[in-house]
Amino acid sequence: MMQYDYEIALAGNPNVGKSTLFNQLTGMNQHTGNWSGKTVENAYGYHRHGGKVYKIVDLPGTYSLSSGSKEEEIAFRYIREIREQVLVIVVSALSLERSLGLVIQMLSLTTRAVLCVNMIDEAARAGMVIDEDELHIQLGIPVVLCSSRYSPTLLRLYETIYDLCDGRIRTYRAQSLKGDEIRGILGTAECSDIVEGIVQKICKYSIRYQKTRVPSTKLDRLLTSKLTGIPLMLLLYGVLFFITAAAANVPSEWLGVLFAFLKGYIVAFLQLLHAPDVLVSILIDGVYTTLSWVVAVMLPPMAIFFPLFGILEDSGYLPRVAFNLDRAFSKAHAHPKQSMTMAMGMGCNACGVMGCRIIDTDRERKIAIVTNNFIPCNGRLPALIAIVTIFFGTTGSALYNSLIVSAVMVAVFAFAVLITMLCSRLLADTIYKGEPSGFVLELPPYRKPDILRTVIRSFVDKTWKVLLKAVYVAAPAGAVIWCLTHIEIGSVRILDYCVGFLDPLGAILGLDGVIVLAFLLGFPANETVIPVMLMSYMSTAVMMDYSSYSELSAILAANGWTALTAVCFLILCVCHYPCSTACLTIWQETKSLKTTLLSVLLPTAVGMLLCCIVNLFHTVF
Amino acid sequence: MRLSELGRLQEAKIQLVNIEEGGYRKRLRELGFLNGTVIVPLYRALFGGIRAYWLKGSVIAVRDSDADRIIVEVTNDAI
Repeated sequence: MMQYDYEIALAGNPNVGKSTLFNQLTGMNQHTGNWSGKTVENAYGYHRHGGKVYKIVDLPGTYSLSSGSKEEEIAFRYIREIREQVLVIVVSALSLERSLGLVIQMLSLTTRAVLCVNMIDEAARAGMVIDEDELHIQLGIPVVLCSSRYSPTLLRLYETIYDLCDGRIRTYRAQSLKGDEIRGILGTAECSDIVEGIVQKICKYSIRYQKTRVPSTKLDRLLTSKLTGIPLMLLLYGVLFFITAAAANVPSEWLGVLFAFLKGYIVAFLQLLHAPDVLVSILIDGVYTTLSWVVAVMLPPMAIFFPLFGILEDSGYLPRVAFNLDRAFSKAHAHPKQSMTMAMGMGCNACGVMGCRIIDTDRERKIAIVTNNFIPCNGRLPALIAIVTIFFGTTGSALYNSLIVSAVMVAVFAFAVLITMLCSRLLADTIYKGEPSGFVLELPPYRKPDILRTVIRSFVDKTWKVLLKAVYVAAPAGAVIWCLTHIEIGSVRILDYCVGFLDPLGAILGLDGVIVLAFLLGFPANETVIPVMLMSYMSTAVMMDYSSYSELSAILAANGWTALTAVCFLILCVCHYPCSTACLTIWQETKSLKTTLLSVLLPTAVGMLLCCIVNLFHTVF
Repeated sequence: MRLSELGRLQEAKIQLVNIEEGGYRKRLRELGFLNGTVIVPLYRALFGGIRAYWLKGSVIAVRDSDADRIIVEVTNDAI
């Protein structure tokens, strides 16, 4: 923890450029964590000026100060406890009238504050004139009109903050704001009536409109009309999907080559230390192989997907997606923003689960978390494509085959989405029962995202953290797989005992013991399912990957695979428990054993049930 | 007149928000759904069921089922 002279907190509505201002103040010198006991991000950083260090805290964006949501509670508590700190209240000039209510609520708790009226350039374009001095007189705190993208106006804000910290500026409690009256009743209807009255009076003297106030909706109408909106959305999701699924393969291969290259050196190093052969084998064939597999497959899609999603988030397009898809999700009694977390799940389910933070009601957030794993992630995609290609795409010409494979893959995803919606509805009607929260969504103005910063921050905050979690679980799991395949009891591998034990269960599901075991051992990483299967079928001791589809096809056919096996495999691949990284993420995001268990049990139960039904149908008819 | 019946870009003033007290009502109030607020419908969602409105300097989307319960008075035919 760095020593600092002053603490400054940024507060205000969501979508008013608070984060941009935070970035401007702190540069790259920022840190994130969670507020104690809450899964709400706590971002802070440091700003230096004139030999002094200022700690900048980014409070969660809120619409009011009563303890309705976790974010509001955090902001309320922080502001209530202010002694030495300085509060920078950031509002958007465009929605100043609305935000003033929050400002007045905050000023009933502290007057160590400065009001930053942001996006003044956009307001000027919209024909709005704001009287800074009038606002200052009415509110009793310094007011700075600025644009966080335009530095000269920011410098004025900085100077004001320094002056306030050093006590060169005095603020006063304006009696007309009725602070004593509303302090105890924040968030009630009575409070909002009083505040509204004050806001009207302030606005009358300090805001003038020169022309029509309604913004241009051209872009929005393009994105929300049936004619252009659907193709644009499909294009966007298609590009996202293509980039995470296809473009990530190349760096994945590079990483694979790199890890294979390093492997030789590590073996040589261990031998130099005269490590026993068994230890070398556990570390290399077990731990290292699994670990490199997980990293090589998970890192590229995450490193591509997170920044891409961050850029979309910054641009303001994502709320439009939620807006467009609202009808479908309201039928499933789920939150419209779940469509975004589902898209994130396509890259990596752990990412998707983390992404559920954007859903602001607890009940709907949990539904999104529990059902996220139904969307096949990048780790499961290669297995799905391989099985679909082998069993559905070998009968005709090359073009015909690729069309069939694409169609079946689309069907697999349609199935995944359908199951997600059905299960969301099921959860909303049973375990997570409750009034579907009335949905009201702010559609913020479009903004040019700060690409470089988004890329770097998403790597530091998200990719790196998820990757570390994956490494924690993959390493011991690699050792377990090694033991199963290397330790023999009466000249039979433990692996083969397990397969024998699981065979009856496999038969019920239309599969065999090997496949079930491969799914079980795939817990640390879904990528290992097919390699473990092959290891078991071929009786080799090292995980291996297939070099061609025809080779894989021959091995599977020799081990009794039929179209039924393939269909059941696909079902189980879509519907089974989340990988260990995702489970760990669910636990960390919810701190709820019930939610974590449910996330494991629900998809598994659905998958097993569907497999049984398919198998039964097949046997009967 | 109900908010949901309002035509595109038809300016109106909110007269009554007929939604029971609770979290949702509170959120609406914070966003500016108060008696007397000027509101202008902007555009509908791709799959319908929800519409975006301009009020108090921001664009807010409300479901039609909720807009049914907000009573408005037309102030100006088109702006």
